[in-house]
Amino acid sequence: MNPPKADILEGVRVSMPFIFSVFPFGMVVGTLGVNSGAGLPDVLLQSLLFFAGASQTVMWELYPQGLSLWVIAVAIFAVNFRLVLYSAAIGRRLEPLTKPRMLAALFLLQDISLAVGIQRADSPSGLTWHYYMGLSLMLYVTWIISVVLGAIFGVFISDPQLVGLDMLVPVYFLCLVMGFRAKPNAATIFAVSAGIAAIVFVYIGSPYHIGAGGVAGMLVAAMLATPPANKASNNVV
Amino acid sequence: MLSELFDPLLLQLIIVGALVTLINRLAGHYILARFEPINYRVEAALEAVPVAVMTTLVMPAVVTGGWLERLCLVIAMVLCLRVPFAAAVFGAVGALVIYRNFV
Repeated sequence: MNPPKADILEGVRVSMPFIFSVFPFGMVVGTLGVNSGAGLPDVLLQSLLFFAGASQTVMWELYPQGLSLWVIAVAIFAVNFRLVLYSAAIGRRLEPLTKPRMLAALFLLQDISLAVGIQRADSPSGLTWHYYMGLSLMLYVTWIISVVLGAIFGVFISDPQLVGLDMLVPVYFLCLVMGFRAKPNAATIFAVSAGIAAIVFVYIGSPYHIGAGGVAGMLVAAMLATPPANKASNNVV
Repeated sequence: MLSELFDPLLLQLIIVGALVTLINRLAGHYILARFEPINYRVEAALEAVPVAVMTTLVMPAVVTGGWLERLCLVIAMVLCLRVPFAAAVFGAVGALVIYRNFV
């Protein structure tokens, strides 16, 4: 196993390509916060505590509408529900850990740390806490800086389509998904999740397509799973 | 003073939102950790999380986008088979931007 320092640096190194794609998103969220009537301290505090771009966006969209606190809290919960699934998926791959280390890791959990972390856990090097924290802390610092810069300077984009901003997030997640194409039944899970998510998105709406498609894909994976082949022989021995 | 720096109502909203988000992040692992050892079907479901969940984040663009946006996603998938992550993302989005601006 690598020494901790080498693992941290390895985590920092793999974070580099992601930093470029996180940055514009953070700037947009920072601008959105200020445009919703919040001050820089509010925007900064939200980013420090949330570190979850989609729910921060939702909060800044709902805040000026004068809705009750609890309505907005439920919306934030719904948008971040995928973190429950992420947490279940990666927590056990980080074990065994001391409680403070696990809490720190889960506090920083988001889409990229899940995707890159699971890929690392599946690789021969294995996932260590130091690697995970090197990656996640880089993303955290990048997020804070980009949101603050967005809040201070403001991003004025007359037409988000002309700079491809509307497609950056979908393409980005599609490429994260493609990194898992070697997983068992990946194509089937992909198809079921995509189909259910599309139907729910059209007939019920966002953000319920995330939970519905996610759970549908997980159920299919469970149904298609085969018992571990060596279990019977282990029992005999 | 804290009250001069922050709008009290907004501060409340930020704190509650942060707590909700933290609960999401902790719940999955700490609820599941009670059920060790886990069944192979649960194991498969957890292994499926990245594909099952992240795929859903792509679908709004597929549903609301036109054929150009869908083609951009197909290009991204093909690029992912050949080039590193960042090159695939910026290649696909870059091609779309060039098309929208110049074609």
